[in-house]
Amino acid sequence: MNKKVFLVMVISLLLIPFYNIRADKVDSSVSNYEILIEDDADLLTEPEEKKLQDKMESLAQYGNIILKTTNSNNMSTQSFAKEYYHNSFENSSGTLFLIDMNNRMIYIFSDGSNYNIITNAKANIITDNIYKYASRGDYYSCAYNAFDQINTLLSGGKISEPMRHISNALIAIFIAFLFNFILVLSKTKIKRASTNEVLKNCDISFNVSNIVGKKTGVDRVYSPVESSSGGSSGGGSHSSGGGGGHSSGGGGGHRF
Amino acid sequence: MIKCPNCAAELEFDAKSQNVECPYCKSNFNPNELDVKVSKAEESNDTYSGKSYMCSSCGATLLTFDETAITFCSYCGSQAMIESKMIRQNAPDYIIPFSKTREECIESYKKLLSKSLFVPKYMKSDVTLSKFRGIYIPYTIYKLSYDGNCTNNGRKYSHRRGDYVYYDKYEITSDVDAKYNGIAYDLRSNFYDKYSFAIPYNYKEVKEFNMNYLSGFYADTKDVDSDTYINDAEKICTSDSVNRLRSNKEFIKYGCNSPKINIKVSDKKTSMYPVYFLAVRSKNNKYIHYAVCNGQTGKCVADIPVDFKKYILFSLIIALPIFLVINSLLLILPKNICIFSCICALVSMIISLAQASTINKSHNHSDDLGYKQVTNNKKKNDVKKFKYISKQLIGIIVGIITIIINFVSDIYFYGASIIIFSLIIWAFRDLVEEHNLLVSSKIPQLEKRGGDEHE
Repeated sequence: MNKKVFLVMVISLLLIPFYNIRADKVDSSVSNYEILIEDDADLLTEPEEKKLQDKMESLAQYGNIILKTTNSNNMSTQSFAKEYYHNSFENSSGTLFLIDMNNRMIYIFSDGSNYNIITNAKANIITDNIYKYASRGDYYSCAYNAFDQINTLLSGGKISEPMRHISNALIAIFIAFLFNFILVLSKTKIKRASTNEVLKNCDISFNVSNIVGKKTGVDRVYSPVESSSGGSSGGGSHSSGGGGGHSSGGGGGHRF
Repeated sequence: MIKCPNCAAELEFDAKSQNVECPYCKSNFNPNELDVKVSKAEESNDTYSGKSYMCSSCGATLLTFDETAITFCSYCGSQAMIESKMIRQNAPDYIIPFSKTREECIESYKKLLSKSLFVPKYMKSDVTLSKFRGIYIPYTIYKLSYDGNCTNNGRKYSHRRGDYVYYDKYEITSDVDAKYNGIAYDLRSNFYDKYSFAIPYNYKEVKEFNMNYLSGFYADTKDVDSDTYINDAEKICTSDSVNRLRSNKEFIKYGCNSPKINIKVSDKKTSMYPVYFLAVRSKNNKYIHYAVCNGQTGKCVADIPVDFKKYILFSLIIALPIFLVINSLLLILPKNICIFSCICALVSMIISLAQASTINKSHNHSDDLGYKQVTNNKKKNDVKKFKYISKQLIGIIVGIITIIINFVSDIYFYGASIIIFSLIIWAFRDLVEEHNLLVSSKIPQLEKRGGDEHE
């Protein structure tokens, strides 16, 4: 096989994910959502907060948009984000970007129609793309890029995920290699003819006659009869309710 | 040599018409009616003779019955065939004449290859196909029987009383008359069992041996003792008899689930069975791939190696849709990709180890009774398993270290995964190489030379 053809195939395979694929777009007709910045961990300067607020404004047309930093969280980052969002905005559409200094983790939580676009997977991709800013202590760039990528997704664009695509391409190649190998094994094995096939080609005569069965005794085997109590199907417990906890929404995050 | 009674040219047996034909005057004769005119010194009813050719490389001997010289060995592909004198062989009792032509055999072989996507070109080149050769291989045919009384025990549910279940015990006596005629095994060690067991012959079509059937073909001589396969034949027939008794209504009635009967070999005959044989040397000249076609039924089996370049091409074509599906459905986190790649490396390693064991078993002919009897199975050259798992092992170690350190940065997980997957894909080359070893045999060597000169 020509080496060039092989090279072109490999490159095509790796480039496919970068081709433009249309994403769903949120209905932006409603725009009475809130923009909120709570820098409790004091990670941002005032000019940075102002710039971020400007950036977040374009996102408010899709839902509430919150930037929260904390250094006093004793829960998991995920639980904190979920509880904070639901306490503040209940189930309305919106996205929270959280920088948790206690767990050293960034986290994106979304709910409502925003969650249809900023899914757990997308939240993970965004945090994967921006965690390195937080690692360097550049929290402004971290937040700015987070909102930038959230904006890209909500406005119907696509964010770059190069490493993920390379990994997926390698997984696909592995599966293809394995599939073909199984195909090779199944098609090239020389099988011994079955006993039936061998005997079918022989002259066989088989006669049994004068069969007599003579009773020689009785076997007694202990085998207690199992009780047939069966049991009822349960006490009809109720599992609904639960005190009005919020279970909608979700997100993803990354250590830094 | 059989001469045409009309023009004295050499006659050839024609598989299609089942007659011997003269290629010059086109006369044809019924092989059983044609009188072979030879001197009494040359032939008797119990023997037949042919010009023998011995391979100086592997020691195989082939007989020819006309003036055609044998230019290559059917077992090792060597062209070092030495013409020897006329040799006389004991005539077998039966023969199954070729009923498939060489062209039909080649078609059958091509059909077999068409099912495999990755066949190297040299396996189906015209030069390769031209090497198919019709050879009569010596077989032993066992007759097995059991005639007499057979006693078995049975146990059948009777009733329950309280916590006890009662079973009636029976002694079942019967007269069994079982006869199995035609279980056949080849008596040539070079014609490995894995091929001969895959192309069974229909014993019901055997004919009394007549040398006229050999004209135009080659014949091999036996080197395996005819008692070698008795146990195997008895096992097959005993198992069949047990099944027949088990399904007998009376035996079921008396609860006899595992009847016992021993079918024994009572007679054995020799026969010549027709095989189209092809031996193709691998590109590195170290191994040989065989293809055999049953000259009676046309069933063909072959060692089919894999062309790695074709394998890569087809794999990449399949990888494209798989990639699109994975990419649209799954988001695997970096750490999980690393874990998954380690699992893939482990799977690849297990396949490799399993292949290596099968190669050793196959190349040492561990299951080949005829081969073992002739060679005493004295030499074992096992493939080194570590060679085939080293890449996957390195990959797994890299993955485990990365997972244990649990880097904050994803790049380490992605980097490790890319390294592991690259090693796995590289290891697939070894897997294909292993497969090619599996579908090949070591080139047979003449024992008296000592050592394996091809190693």
